[in-house]
Amino acid sequence: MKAGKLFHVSVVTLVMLYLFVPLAVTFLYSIATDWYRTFLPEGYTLNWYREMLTDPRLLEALWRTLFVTVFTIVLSILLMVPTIFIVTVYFSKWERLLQAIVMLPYAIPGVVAAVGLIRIYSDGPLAISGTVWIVIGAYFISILPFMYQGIRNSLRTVDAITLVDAAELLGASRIQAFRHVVLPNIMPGVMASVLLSFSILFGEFVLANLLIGGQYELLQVYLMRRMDESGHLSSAIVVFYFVLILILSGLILKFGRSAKEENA
Amino acid sequence: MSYVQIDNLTKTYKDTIALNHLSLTFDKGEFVTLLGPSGCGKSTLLRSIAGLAPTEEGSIHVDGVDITHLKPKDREIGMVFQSYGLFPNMTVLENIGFGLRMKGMKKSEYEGKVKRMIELVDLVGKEQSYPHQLSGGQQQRVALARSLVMEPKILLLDEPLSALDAKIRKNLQVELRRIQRELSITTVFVTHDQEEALTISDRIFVMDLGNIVQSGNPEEIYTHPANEFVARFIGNYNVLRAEQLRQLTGGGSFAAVSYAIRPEVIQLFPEHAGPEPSGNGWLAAGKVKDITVTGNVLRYLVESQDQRLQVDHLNTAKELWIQRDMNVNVWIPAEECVPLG
Amino acid sequence: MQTFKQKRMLLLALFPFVIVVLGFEILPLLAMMLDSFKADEGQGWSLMQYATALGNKYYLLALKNSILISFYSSLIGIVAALLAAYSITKLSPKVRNLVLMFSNMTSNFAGVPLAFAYIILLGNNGIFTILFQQLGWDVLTSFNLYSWTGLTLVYVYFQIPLAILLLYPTYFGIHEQWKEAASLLGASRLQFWRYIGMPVILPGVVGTFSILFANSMGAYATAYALVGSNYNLLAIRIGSLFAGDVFPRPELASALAMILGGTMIAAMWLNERMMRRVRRDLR
Repeated sequence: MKAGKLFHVSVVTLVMLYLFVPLAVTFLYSIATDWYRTFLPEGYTLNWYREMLTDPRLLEALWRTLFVTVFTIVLSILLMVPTIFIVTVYFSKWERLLQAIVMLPYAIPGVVAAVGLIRIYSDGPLAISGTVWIVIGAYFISILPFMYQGIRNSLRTVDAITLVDAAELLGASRIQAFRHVVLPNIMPGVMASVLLSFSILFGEFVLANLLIGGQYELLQVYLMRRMDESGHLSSAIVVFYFVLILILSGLILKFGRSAKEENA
Repeated sequence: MSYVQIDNLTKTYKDTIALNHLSLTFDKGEFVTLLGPSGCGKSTLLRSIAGLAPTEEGSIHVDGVDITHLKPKDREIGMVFQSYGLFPNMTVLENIGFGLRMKGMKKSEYEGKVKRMIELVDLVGKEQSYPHQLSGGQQQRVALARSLVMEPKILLLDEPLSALDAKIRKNLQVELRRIQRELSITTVFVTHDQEEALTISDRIFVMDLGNIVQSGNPEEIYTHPANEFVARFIGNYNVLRAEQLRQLTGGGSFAAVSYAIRPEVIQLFPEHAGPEPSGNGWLAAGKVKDITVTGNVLRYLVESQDQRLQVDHLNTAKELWIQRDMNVNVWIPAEECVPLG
Repeated sequence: MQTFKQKRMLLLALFPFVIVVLGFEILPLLAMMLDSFKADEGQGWSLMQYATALGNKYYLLALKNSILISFYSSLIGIVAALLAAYSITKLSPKVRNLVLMFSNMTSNFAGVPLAFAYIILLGNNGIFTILFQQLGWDVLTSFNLYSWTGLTLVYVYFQIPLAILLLYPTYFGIHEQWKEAASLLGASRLQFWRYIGMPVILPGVVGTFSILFANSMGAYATAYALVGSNYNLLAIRIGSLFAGDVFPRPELASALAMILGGTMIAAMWLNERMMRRVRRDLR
């Protein structure tokens, strides 16, 4: 019995160590003065972070990424919530089709998606290739599965159909019922999907690099281009990025849990 | 020495006592039931016999052999679980044959045995079905066959019928008893349903808080509950302390601490009327406070001398005269007042 | 009864979603499919792109490399995760949640940042590389991060957390009573896992393997960040065929993309088939 427990603890420790070491080293590297002769860094400094925070290129890339991400997610909510609601309530025979459409991007790697997008938008009437719009469009599609799942589950747990029926009996119009009753009730449940999409888009490189690259430098592309210049600075950026993801994951967990509790 | 002998068995979970120095014996071929409310330790006792729950003290002997420290697979004991525990990736045939296969038998060797078992539990035609294709009752038959085919010394049944709906449960009770008699296999059955226990058992052990509070055949247990717990658990007995009974009967001497009176032995008569003065008993004035119909039984709540009594009568035309809020006479036969220890 | 006007209003509300999905999901995919059956520069229908893709040693090798690295990284990832996820179920709930949270967190650590971390760890001037040289240990002298072994190691890193995330719940599909029943019927622990435990979690394992395989087949950022376009992987080839420095050949890129997709579907189908042979009870 005791030996079994020891075995399980060692297995978990070993795997977690494998996952932890690259993170730890990156962090140490970001606060090291010099680190190539000794087991531990020769000295510690916050200079790389200072340099990072005063780099206008990073700040610009960050703002661009934030803009693209927020824009995409807001657009996603605006279009997806009514669509899913209308389809589930009024056109339930189309539900399978909708499901197939929103799940498809899950199976399509970014590099494959990029091929067709560039093909369509590089010339012709809608030559938006190389502009931010093609990225937003592509991002919209790539977060479809996650947004769909969150919104769908939320609508189901708050029992949206009954809510609308009740509101309509009380004299609300359908649009009023949707805006004042359904939307506020599903938002907590949708929050987890929103944050998940956030962290996915923040880490997105393929589409950003292939569709727009240096013309509109997003965070991951910036990081990629910075890597060769200064290792220490790049590791500071990686740590910064990871802390961002950490905060997002924490929030996802919190919202996921509170949404569950509310519905419990 | 009895076939199965359990001595001084003790087990505690954290700070609750599951088995409290418990001892019991029963004979070969007996159908024994452990009856009690949830948490009384009956399932723990069963799992201890199977070797699935290690005990701290005491011993278990089967057929003269000490099995207290044997592994489950070496005990030659079969067990059927409440939720069947069938292996979902195996057919009925494979499930039933699993134990024999583990013994190293080839399919050709055990197939005949398995087939006979399938006939015994009436599942012919379902050999190639998977558990999820069967109803709950059928799944439980497979679980039964899977245990029986190993020809265990004891068959343990852990609330095997409680996940089934009432009709199927009744059928399976009868089936279970038929199969047990046919194989004359020593069986320990666990249930919290007193009606089921009374129907099916040769012998009942009533358990409470890790102790056995009474043992006996169904008739004894039902008609002579040993204490208040058994009386209340077994048959909705009216349990009255001696002074309460004295108040009700307006006199008489009662030696025991309390008495149990079954609801169906109390008779009701119109005001000022009474039974033929033949039997020995007491007549008291009372009032019908409530009447409930539970199918074939009419259940009256009668108040008499500040005591509340439950009275059960068969639902016949004879009962039509009794109305709610009516004043009645209550007849309590003396020989039906069971003294409790 | 719904009136015609109401229905039209509802359909109208669906319009924006339909437009975006058509414009950025359906039409690009269709265009890509059609393109793959066209000659260079879109001149007429032809199977020449597929002939090039599957006839040219270079592209064939890219396909083979992609399949191999996906297979090995998924295999290593799933074996590690099978062990780890099972061991996690044996920990106390508090530690268990902590470990799962950490594992989930690292699943976000992929692509460019991950490649970077490995470069400072094991690259030519990586900390471990230099350290081991100084210590005189030659374990790492034969190791090269920019080799296939190196890339596999990095791929395994992003496979493990994903695999743990997906496999962990499947262990809860094993009922304690099956173990008890099996032990009463004379099965050892090993026999339990061989005849019941493994078959029961098999669908979950197979499904997870398919996802891991697809995940690494389509992976682009990690390899690209490590050595740019130098790895001969299918995803890298596709990228450089329409957005790289070589002469763009979108039709060939389309054909390669179709092949990439086809491989993923074929792998999934194969996995399903093999699983059904063991689990005949499913459907």
